[in-house]
Amino acid sequence: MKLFRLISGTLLLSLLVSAVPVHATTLYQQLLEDSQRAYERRGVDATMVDFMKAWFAENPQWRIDRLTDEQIQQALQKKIEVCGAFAQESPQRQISGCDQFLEVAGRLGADTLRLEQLGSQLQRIATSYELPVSDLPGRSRQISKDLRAIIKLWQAGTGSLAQHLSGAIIREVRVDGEEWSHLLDDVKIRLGALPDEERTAAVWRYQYGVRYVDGRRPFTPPKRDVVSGRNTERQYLFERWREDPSNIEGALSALFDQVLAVPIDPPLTSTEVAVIVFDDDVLNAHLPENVLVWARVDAPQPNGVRTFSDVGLQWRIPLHPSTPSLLTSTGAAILGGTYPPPPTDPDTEREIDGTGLCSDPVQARGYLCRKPLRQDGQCPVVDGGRASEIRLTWCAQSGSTLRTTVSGPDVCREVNFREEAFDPQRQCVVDIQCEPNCQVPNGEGSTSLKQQDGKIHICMEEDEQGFDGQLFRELHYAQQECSRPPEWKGYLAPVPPGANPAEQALHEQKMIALCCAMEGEAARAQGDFYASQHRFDAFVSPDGTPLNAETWAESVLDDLCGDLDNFRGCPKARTYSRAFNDAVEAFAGDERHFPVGHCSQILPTLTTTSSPDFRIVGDFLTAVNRHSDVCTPGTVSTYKNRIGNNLCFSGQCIEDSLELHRVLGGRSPATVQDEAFPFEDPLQGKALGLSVALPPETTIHLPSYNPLRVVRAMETAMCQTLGMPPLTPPMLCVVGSKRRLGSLLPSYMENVVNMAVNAANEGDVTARERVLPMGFGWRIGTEMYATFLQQASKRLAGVVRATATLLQQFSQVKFPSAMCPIAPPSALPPLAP
Amino acid sequence: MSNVRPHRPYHLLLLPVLILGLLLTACGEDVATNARVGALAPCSIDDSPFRGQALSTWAGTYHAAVDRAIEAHLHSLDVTATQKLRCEAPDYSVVTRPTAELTAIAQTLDPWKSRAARERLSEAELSPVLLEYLRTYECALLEKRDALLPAGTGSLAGGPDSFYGNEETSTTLLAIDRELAISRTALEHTLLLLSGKNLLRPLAVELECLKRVSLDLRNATGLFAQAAACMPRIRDARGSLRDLSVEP
Repeated sequence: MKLFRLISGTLLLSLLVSAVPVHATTLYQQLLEDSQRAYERRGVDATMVDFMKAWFAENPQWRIDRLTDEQIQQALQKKIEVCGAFAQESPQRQISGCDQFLEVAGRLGADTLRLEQLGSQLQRIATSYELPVSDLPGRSRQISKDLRAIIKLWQAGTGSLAQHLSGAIIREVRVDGEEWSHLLDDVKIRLGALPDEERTAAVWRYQYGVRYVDGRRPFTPPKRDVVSGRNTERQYLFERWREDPSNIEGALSALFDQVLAVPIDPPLTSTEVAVIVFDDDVLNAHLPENVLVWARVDAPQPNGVRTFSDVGLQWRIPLHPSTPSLLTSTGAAILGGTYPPPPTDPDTEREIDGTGLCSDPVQARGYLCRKPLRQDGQCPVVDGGRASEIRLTWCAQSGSTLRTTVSGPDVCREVNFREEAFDPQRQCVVDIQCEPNCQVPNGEGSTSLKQQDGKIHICMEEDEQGFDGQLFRELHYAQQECSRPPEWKGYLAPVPPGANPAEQALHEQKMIALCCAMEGEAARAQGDFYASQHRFDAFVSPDGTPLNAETWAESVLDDLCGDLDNFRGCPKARTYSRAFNDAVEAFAGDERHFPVGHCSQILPTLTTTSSPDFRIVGDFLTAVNRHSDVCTPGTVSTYKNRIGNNLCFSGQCIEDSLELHRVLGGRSPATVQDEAFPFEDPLQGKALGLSVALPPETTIHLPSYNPLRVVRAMETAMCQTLGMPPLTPPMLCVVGSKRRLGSLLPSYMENVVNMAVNAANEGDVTARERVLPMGFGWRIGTEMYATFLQQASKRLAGVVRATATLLQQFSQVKFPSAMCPIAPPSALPPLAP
Repeated sequence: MSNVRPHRPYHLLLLPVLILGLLLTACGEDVATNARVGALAPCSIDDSPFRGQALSTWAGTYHAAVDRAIEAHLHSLDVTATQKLRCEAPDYSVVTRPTAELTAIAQTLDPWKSRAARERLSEAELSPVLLEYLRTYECALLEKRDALLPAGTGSLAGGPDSFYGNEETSTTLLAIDRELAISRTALEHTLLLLSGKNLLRPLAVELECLKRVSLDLRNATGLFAQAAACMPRIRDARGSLRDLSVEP
């Protein structure tokens, strides 16, 4: 019967134990197995026993070196069975000293165990926050993947620019197959050759990659400090495993060589990083439990350095930290208790930390790692911050990065969103040069024909009279040529060979019309420019004809498309008197009204100057130069289907229409007023849904972290917990143990009881004090989170609302049922002889 | 030592409980809800999901159920992309529908035994459900342990050998002690690890919704861009003014 009970009891125990699988795979199973291990050893493991043996043997007060492992374990658990052996250690030792021995052993064991448990607890807390936002394949990546997907959906540009703020471009490359198995097995074997403590430390050591640890990437890993050498408590934090049988670096380097050989199609660009995604089953089968290998590769920089390429180790679920070492390599006890200096960069002597974190391509974009924001000063510092605040980011100057053109905010000025290459047949590059003498008639600037490579040269005199207006006019010539094929001659096109007299006459008529349109547009733009600066105000007319943009242009046309070029002139320009034309010419030559500009001084600052006169010229230059003829009929634009790119395309179409599109012959949209635009046609009602919506400020900054405020809030709350008024000075907010004596109760017994209660109150306050900081931390964190989300969501909502408004307006456009007849050139009014 | 539980005159309590129940029902109160948020009910093997099961199967049943619920919970967090989300919903109730594994546990526990309470159950209540399940498990284990221990003995401090030499009982008691020691630690550690992820769950859902909105918006802006390509010509058609002739 007894045997039966024994068997059935053992069976029951085995059934209870067998409820837990031997090889844990799920999260709960891993933690259950951890709990089981901790229960089985009751907090005592072999390393701790060895440490205790070494410590008691080395300590001059004890010199105990004959106790067995089992007896040490008994001592750690304060079991008096060990006292017999303790007394036999030496003739001088008596059993009466055993209680002190047990006390010391128990305290040492408890301290060590508490440290280990605290480390694990802190690790689990950190893991609970960090794991969901991890970027490593093999872990949960839903949030980071969603974030990247959203960024990608909204992103504008091809990523061809070196600096862009939209985030790292991550590509995933999946690999599987047996060629990785032996390499992963090798990593497993190397890790398996290490004791538990070292194995844990090794995984943490290579968490940022083996090349990072080796200093082969442009990041500076912290170096071993003076008190963290070998045989110290932090010996493994800076250890490197490079020798057999635990040559982990060799195994990871071999893996890296294989990673470099992975075919990636299309090849990586300079801003792309490929994350290698191993098959999960392969990782599970060929790596130690809860350990994973990650790898990524990027294209080498011009100097041959690969910034982000690396291979490293990481925990699938980080559960245990690298705890302080207890034993040296020779088995001596490490007492610990030393504090290391902060890690410093040996080159700059500056304190460094977190370089490993910032060596990740995604995390490098985080606010802690964004060096450009801190250093280049493009975003001015927001002043007015209090000394008690810690600002996590501070680039939030409104409007500092807003680009504008002649028609308002400029979309996609620096974004290369189109994928097709520069086409000289449809696009141009304007090249302005300052020369002492441009070798052109009348000393004016000149614009070349568009060349085969798409360049249009504008030569400006170094000391040009009326420089700004002249350049503005030349830019209009450039703009007229820009979307035309190279060598387009405009109204100077020769008569087609073999043309009969009638065809020659028609050709001549066409050229006159084109001359009037082209030159008229440029001259009108120049006139508008001067008129806007009130330069015509001082003109004294000889015949009562006022000088304004219109009369200026027509007077100029008299020369340009008149008898001088063998044309018969533009119809309206001929109506001015010779006296008026001469007066205009004389007025234009007067330096008082049209001062001399120095080309080489003005040109470099043309697009950045704050002067409104030059700004309009600079903006127009940018508009011409932007190669933005996305809406020219017949143009095919290709780009990645993203919200940002779609908006870039739409925005540039709108800008092209407002800035460059010649809606009216002889009118430059860069200078005419809104009334000149056809969508303002009063006969047709509302405008064409093109109220260029000003995008909301998208700069978002994290709210300030204000520790002083937290402390003050905590002190106030503590005062309140004691029943004090909120504004009581904190130093008065203490629980006085003599408080009861100040207001005595009727009986002695009640007083005594209340004195005891006082002590309990103090204990309560201490307990609350421990809980309060955490509560305040939560509250402040939540407040910051809410503040940030409130700002961010408002901005995003603003963008979406503006987009919706534009879309809505477009859908409401009503087109007229009848168009005005377009007159062919032959239907032009007869010209005067 | 006796395994017989004391008999109490429960029927005397029945009438006032019935009246109170009727009153609360008439007032539209939900007893189950109040029980859930209020003090936890006393527990025993008879009220637990382990009633009628052999002790040897308890651990297997308990740990497997918890494991399944947590795995399902993790899975539900990770696959928002394939979930039927109602992004326009005013709260997260729809997106936090409990998994079948969690419901399976909850319906065996007192606070969620009523249908109304189960219908309000949310995946966000994973921790309360599992902790209540653990409490029930511990109650059952303690009750079994108390039944096996002699009166006035609180533990097996002397080890199994000192216990009347009854190895079967001693081994069983050791196994129960072991379960009592590891179950709570394991669950609390697991819930701690999950807490960060649970905090981020609304964010994960919002991100998924934002992703879907972004996809719609991308299509809309694509159409907008297509229309914008005709912008200059639309203008020409819209007004009475014209461009320069395309032909030179």
